[in-house]
Amino acid sequence: MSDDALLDVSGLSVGFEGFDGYADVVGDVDLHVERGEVVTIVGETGCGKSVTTKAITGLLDEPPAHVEGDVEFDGMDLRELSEAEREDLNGDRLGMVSQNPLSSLNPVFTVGEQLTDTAQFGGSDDAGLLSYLRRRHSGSERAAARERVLEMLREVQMPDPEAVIDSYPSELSGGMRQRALIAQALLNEPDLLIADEPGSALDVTVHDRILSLLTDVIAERDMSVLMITHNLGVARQISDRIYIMYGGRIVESAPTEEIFTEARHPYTQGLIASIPRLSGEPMAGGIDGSVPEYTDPPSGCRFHPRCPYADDDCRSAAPPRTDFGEEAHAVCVRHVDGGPTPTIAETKRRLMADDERAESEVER
Amino acid sequence: MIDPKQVAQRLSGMVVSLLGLSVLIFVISRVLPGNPARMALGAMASEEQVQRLAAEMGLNEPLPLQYADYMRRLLVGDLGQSLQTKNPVVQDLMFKLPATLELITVAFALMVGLGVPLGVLAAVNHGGRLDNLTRVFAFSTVSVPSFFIGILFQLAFGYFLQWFPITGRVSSAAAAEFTRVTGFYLLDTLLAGAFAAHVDVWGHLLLPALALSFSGMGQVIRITRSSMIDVEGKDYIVASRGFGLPSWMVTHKYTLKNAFVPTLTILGLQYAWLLSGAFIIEIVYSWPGVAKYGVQSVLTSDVNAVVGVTMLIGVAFVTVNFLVDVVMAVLDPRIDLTGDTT
Repeated sequence: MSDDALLDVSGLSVGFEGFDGYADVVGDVDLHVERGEVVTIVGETGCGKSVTTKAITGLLDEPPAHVEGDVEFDGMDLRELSEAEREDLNGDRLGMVSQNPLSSLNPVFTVGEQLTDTAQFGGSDDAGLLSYLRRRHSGSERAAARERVLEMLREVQMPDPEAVIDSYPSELSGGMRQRALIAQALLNEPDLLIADEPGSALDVTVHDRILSLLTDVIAERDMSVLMITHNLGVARQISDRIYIMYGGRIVESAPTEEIFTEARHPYTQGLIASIPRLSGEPMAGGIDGSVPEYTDPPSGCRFHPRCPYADDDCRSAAPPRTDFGEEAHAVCVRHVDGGPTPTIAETKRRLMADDERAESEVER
Repeated sequence: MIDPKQVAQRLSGMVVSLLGLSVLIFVISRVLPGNPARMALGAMASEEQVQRLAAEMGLNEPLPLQYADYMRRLLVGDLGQSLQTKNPVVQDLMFKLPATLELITVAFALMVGLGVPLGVLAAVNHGGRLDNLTRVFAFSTVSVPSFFIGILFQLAFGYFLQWFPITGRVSSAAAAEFTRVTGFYLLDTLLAGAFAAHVDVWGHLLLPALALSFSGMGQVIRITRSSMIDVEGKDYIVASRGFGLPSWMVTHKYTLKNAFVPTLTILGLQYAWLLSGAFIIEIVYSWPGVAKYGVQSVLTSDVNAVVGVTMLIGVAFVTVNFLVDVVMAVLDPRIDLTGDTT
């Protein structure tokens, strides 16, 4: 881990107090984002990705959430900041694009009102009620902010920005709302953009256009980005480095190309083996089972109930972390002692054997 | 922002409700036990006299004809004569209405002015001590009947502390300082420049208005609180925090406007309910308003006056709810006035 990381998270854990008992959702998360680097966290739905970013950005209510660990942003400890300091930072230096564009714009204000407020007051330190009233109604400052919003809307290739700015969110399509949200996040030129599955709630073609738009604006600004996705293809398209998350733990990390050529964790390998390919070669039908129950997680390695390599070692103790060079690591006991070393090909073979067994059982 | 066509459509719906209301009131007034002609003339009148008056009043005609006649007179604003005061009912109502409107408007203002901020405060501190305090206050105001609160206020602030007068609308000394123009004494005193009288009118108003506002205030606090908390968890509020907007702005601008729509529904109903709540409070405080007039008419079987008062309350309900719908459509662009879902 280098010293000039913009975002440096270590030992982050998040749990929730609930009716069914304590849910230990996220644990031992170490991650960092260098300046100008685009990093993605990949994992199935429900494996703690969104909770991790919410814990980083301080958007979780505590209680019911319990958050522990260090979150350092540009040398500041985010967990120690007061609410006011946080407001100052959010928007201004930390930008966020949330998961669902359909529900992330306020339905009773026009897009222009929301974006102009963000441009004028987002992350600003001096915005009490009086200064709000003065600046909100000061024609020239408001007009300048509005001009900036229009410019930003044009930059995210919003069709007909002059009409959109006076529209309510309910009058816009999903793709337009996502563009508006990206514009809103970029308005104050954040150093770090945290994006939670942008566009994934939209249909595939729109999603694709949103992603290429994001790739463009990121490249243009040389921004640092932490993005979440459940789609390895998306991660490959956009990121420099990938974290693979399963059951609230980071199980593997490596530069993007390395993940696809020599993934080390059986989970990552299973994900890659299940990507459909144009070459027509057979693919695995996916990894059986689903993400763990957090109130009663599997003992030892959380992936063991679904892992084609699992044995008693995996069930008894949490696996150790093994580093592979500067930037890559995997958290799997197979890399430490004994058993066949998991490779993508071997994992694929085992998963497909499982598929066949399941099929023959169905036939019987 | 608001489509005039939708407003027109909503207005036509309002006319239908009013027509239905007129039928209902007509039927009820005709099936009420007792012969209105007999009541008008008193127990001493002969059967012949009663028959003659009944014929004059059209009581012997078939019901549809009677209804047509009733509607014809209603449209020109003729509600018949009050048997009790011998004045046209409309004239009585017009004279008494300002007193009641003044009372319920001040009560309504108190309800909104105290209820909404308390609800917001409770939501912001939810789970905290302030939240629990407002919860206790809200539940007590909802569950204690208004006449009891009224009497309690009279005892505490009128009798023991003597801060406020116990009954009436204005003291006789102050009444001499201004002339009745609009019937709204708060306005009339200002028009006459009689500031001492103005203060006197406020003194008379405050206790009954507060007692009247309490039951609604509890509801307003609870609804505002729960819809604020509900909206605070929405993605767009979390997102606006993420964009670094100041927290007071997120609460009072971005959350409150969303949360106000359910509150507004309650407020619309409350304004009309205040009118019926005034029946009790006007008696307790001997307030010379429509509601006290209505109670007296019921007690003396003054049919025309009862119909008039009932009609007035009905019209108020329908009108206020129409206004609420319009305001809601202004607040939330997704609301369609015609009730069609898109």
